[in-house]
Amino acid sequence: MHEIQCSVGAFVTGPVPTVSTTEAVSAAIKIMKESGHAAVIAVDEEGLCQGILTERDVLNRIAAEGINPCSQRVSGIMTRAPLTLNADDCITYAINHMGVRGFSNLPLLDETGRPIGLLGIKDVARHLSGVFADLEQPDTSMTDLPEWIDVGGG
Amino acid sequence: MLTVLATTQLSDLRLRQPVLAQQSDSLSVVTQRMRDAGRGSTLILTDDGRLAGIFTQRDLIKRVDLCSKGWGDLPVCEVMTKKPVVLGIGASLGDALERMDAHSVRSLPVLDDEQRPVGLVSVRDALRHIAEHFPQDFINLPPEPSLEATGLYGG
Repeated sequence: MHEIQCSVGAFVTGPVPTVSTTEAVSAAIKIMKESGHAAVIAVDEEGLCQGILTERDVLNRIAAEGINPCSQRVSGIMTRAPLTLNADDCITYAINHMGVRGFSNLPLLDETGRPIGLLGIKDVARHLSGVFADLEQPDTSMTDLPEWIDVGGG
Repeated sequence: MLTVLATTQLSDLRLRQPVLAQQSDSLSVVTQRMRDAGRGSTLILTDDGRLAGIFTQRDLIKRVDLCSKGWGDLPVCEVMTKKPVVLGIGASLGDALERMDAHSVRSLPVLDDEQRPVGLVSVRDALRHIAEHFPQDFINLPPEPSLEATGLYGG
């Protein structure tokens, strides 16, 4: 199992997708579209994480309900107090939250509660794909094989 | 054990039944069907039951202007992904993860030997399967990482 384990901080790359809780949902959609992230972290005026708004929220709470995202605030449909992780936490927690509990996006926060990254299910899938690919590589590390010893015939 | 996991055939996974739609179904109908089923993607079929495309919540974000009037009346075939990346039922879990990563997608239609869709495999399906095979590593965890034991306790 050690092959899978690593800190989730290793996946913190690029700008963090955030949106103010007071902005329209359309602003969050624009960020998701342009950044390629499947979610946006909703922050207050102090930059503290207050919630998360995901593609699934847009599907279920905007599109399927026929609501105009230009006239709905992020705070109205975001998930408040989402599950989060810190950079030092092990990816096993991400696999638990995503595979077992069904969450696809996890904000990564610093010690002040401010977002430093967003871990998506694709990030975890890429990591596992790499782990499995490494399993298929032949072990070429054994270079000091013992000499052949002829013990003769019986 | 990891090798066994990587070579698990898709036919051995508990694949969820996909949401299905016809090419002419409207986006409002398809999105409501996805919401009601709790799913993030829909397989779009031809009249003879073959795969015409896939429509996902990602396609909704990228290709649909939800601020415009009448978007709900658009037929799903206008915004679906045509000729999506697929997998055969004989493929493995490792193949699925590799293909999803290579094409940057989160789910793949699974086809039988006659190229008819028989299910959908998602990253979440793969993670759940892995977690179920290593419960001590992925299921039996403290509620928070900060509560993990850092040393041995007891007398």
